[in-house]
Amino acid sequence: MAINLQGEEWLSLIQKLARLTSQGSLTWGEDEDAPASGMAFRVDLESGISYIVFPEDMDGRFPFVLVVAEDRSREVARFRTVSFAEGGPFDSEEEEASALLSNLYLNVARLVSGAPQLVQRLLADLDSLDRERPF
Amino acid sequence: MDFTGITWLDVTMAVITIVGLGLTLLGLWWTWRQARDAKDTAARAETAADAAKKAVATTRAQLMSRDLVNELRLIRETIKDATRAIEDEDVPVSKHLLVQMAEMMHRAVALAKDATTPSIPEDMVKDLQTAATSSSAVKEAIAKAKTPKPSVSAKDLSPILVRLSSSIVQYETIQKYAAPEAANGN
Repeated sequence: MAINLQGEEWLSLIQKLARLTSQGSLTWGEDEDAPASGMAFRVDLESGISYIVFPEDMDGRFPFVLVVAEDRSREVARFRTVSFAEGGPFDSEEEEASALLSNLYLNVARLVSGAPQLVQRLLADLDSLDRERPF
Repeated sequence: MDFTGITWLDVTMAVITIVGLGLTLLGLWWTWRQARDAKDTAARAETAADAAKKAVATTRAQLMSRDLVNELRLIRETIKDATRAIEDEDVPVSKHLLVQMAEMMHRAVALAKDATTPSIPEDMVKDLQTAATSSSAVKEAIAKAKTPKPSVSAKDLSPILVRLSSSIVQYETIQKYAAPEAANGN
């Protein structure tokens, strides 16, 4: 049975997930069990807890859903984004958490696609050319 | 002619030689016939394999063509329903139909891009792609808005849907009366 978490609890959780993701501490990957490929992403921690993010309509767009699962697949909690004013101000923690989760989903999708890694490689490649110049 | 000195043995040997030559020629003819039959059989098998391959390709093209026409008809009907829901400012129905429509459009584009399906006008493929992306964007805008107004969010999408709907009607009409070969893209 799924546990009901409060808006502020979701906010703390999503804030932490977003921070760890941007630090590169979480290794997100595609969720192979999702009905549409390239739309759902998950991170499995050693503790046995998994976080799965996906768009509700499986179209890569808002609204997004965050599922917390135990033992890889047993759902324990679920957060669905609510409407919010773009750029704030937010009327509730749920709205702030929704804005954060929307950004987190897009970041994770980019990370899993390998786009940031590619840009880094390209820049390093160009930097090496820069260093080779005598002056 | 002088046959002096020809013995029975000579005659027997000559007969044997002639019979031997005849048998050799018969053997050669038999071998040639066998080779010709084998070639004909191989050619027939090749023709049968080609025919089977062609039949499979034709059936596949027919199925894909039918799928494409069905998909386009569904898109046209969904455009009608979605337009009504958007005009009525019906938020849940609009969102649901926009999601469905985008999925159908993506499927139709995939079918249209297959070489075996009948070619559909390039403008229509472009409109399908644009409409699919815009439908998802409008759905997102409606879902995000605190006070959603589907008619406002779909302001730019509506003209594309009208144009697409009319080009689908044209395409359906042409396909309805097209010869089977033309409809299969052959």
